[in-house]
Amino acid sequence: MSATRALKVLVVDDSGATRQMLQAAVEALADERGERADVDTAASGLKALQLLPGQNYDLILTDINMPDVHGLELIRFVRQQPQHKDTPILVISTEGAEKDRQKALALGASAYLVKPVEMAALRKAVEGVWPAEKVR
Amino acid sequence: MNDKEFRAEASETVEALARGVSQLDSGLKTGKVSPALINDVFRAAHSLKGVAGLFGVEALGQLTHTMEDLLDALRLGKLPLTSAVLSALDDAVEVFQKLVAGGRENDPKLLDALTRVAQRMAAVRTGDGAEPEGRTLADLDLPQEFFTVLTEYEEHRLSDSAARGVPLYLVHAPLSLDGFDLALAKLTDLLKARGELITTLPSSQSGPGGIAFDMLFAGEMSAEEVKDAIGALSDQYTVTTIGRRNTPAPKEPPPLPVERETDTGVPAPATLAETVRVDIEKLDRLMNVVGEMAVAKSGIARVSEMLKAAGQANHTPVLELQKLARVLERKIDELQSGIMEVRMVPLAQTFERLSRLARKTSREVGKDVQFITRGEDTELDKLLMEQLSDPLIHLVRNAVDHGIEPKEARLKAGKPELGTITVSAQPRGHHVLISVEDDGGGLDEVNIRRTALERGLVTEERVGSLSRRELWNLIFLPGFSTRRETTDLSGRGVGMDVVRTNISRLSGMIEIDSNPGRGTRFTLTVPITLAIIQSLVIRVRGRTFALPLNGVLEILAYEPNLLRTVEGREVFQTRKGSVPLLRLGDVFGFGGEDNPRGYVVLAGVALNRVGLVVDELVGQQDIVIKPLGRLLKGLRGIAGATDLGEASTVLVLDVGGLLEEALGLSAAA
Repeated sequence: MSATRALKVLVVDDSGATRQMLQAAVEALADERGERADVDTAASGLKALQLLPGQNYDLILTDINMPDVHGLELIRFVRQQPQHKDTPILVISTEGAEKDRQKALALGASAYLVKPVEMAALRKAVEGVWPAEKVR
Repeated sequence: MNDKEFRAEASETVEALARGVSQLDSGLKTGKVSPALINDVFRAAHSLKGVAGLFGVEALGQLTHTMEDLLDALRLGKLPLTSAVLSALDDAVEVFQKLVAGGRENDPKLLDALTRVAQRMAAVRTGDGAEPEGRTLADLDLPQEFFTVLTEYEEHRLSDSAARGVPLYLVHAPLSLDGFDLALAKLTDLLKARGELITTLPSSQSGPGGIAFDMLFAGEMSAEEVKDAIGALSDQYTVTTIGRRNTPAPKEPPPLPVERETDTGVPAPATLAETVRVDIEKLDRLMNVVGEMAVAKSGIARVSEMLKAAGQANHTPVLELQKLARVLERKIDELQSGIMEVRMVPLAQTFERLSRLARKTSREVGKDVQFITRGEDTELDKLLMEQLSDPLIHLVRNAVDHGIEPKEARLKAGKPELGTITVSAQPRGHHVLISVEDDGGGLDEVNIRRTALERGLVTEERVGSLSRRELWNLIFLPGFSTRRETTDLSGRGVGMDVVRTNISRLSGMIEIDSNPGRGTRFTLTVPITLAIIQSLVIRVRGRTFALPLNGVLEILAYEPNLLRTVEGREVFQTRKGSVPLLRLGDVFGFGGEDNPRGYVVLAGVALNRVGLVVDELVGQQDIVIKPLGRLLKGLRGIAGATDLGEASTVLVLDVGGLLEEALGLSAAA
């Protein structure tokens, strides 16, 4: 259990409240598993683009509806990077856009959660993409 | 992150939503609604939904969801923007504003309103269902991978532009990973100013440190013009015309390498404004500290005066001390105005709220009213702004309800059917003038006279001698309000007397101007801040008080031979007529006599005047008013306490309260 490296997580959402909520949730989830999460947050798709190339994330959470560079474009960008080819991506967005949901999954998102997201749903999704053995 | 911050963000989002809905309204009236605006409103609703959960109210979650759904339909062109849709959005915004303003989530009235608005919205929504215009996307000569990343909304915008025959372009911008945000922001602004930027697709570049953007742009301009425009930013940018597969576009050689141009020398824009949200109480604390520093500074100045008086004026340390005291004074002034500046907020938000209120009220009473605002970027202290909002709401509601005549009456009078209400603001030194003006029938003087008589606010003989202005001012008397309506917005009955009291509590004034058949104008004059005020320090029978200078009009010598007694009240004769006299010593029950060689300080709020008998004038000083404890809070005529330095704390007089005392307004009729 000792000195495993912290799980690197990126949270992308243009709402500060949502970002902080997700960050707290992810940290709590990691804690439950006896691990540590190191969470970066980005207030826009553009900010995420600046972070991604220099990092190696274990998990990415993103909204779809953001100005300029949106979630679908971001997922595509993530997948273009060798170090992020298999990084789990959870989309947390609106339930209305069925077509957007399908596209997100087609582009390589691991799961699509609907806002406002509940802790239980988030835990389930994280467990789905983060099997303990894979992270170790 | 605590609940307060959540609320702060929710509140900002709601205001963005409110602004957007307001713009949609004017857009609808002028027939110009930009898709980008609808999308902005949609995104505000979307953000709100994200934080709705924190309020823990299911009804709120439902409303945000219904609203997002509605706006989604709007932006996808599945639902036309109508006044019914706008009205539902307006109502939703209002409920949200109440919630984020600290409304109790479990308030049954609020829950009821939430449910009702959600139902209305759902009802408006059911009218749609029409599929958007035929898809023309397949015809577009775009790389297939584009279609895998476009959101439904972007697809809609793309096909809409294509269907309308707007030329479509693909702008390619290869940038360096390092600091690409500035260059991209410049390019984005440029394109948005010339047309619609449908999407910005980033691509990882194979080269080290590279990133590229493909921007889908719809604009009424030729490829040549696009090329020139973007070429001014960088020679790396290229543009391709997106042709139609079936109906090939005129042959243009895509892609066009942009020719090199000399550097335009335009500096890159500063990074996007970063803002910090600060609790106003923290600013209040800082302000208090600055006030105390100012007091300490006067202490230093005093010490140096003392040294000078002791014949030490030419000693280097004394000169040095004086110099330092002056530097300190300048710096404290800077600090003070710096903090004041931070507290300032533009009136825009308040005006926007008034505009919605005017729309809503005019719908309720069945009048057509246009609402015009001017000077919305005028700034006021945030705290003051909050306290001004109720009076302004009342004035605007009155203007729609009573000011603007019914349609038939307007037509008969040869006026346009559409009534106009203008709310404007302009800075005037340390004050701001805010006026609420309607082009209605003016004040009904016959009715005012009758009401005042009926309610015994004025005697028969007196009413005949009143000037028109005095007659108008009768509407500010307590007990005048002809209707004690309970408003939805404030939830309690308010009359014009409450408006006046609220304004004078802010050391402000309210004036009326009325023109029969042409309209009425209420003008509020309020200080731009309450935090620091200038005061006149006075002494009355051995006690010291501070009198806010903004209520002081004139200082006269006290001359016993100018005293008269009218109806058992002392009045003082001035050049401009007589004013009621108030002996502060008697008001506060000090006993003793007033100095026969003292002064009469002529004080006034709005059009009321009072002469205050004062023994001694000590001087002028900037003060920070601190509230009295709970026990002394309700004390009439006292606004608070302040520290004058030299360890002396004195009471600050409240001119408005004293006036009411003098004129017997508080106990009228």
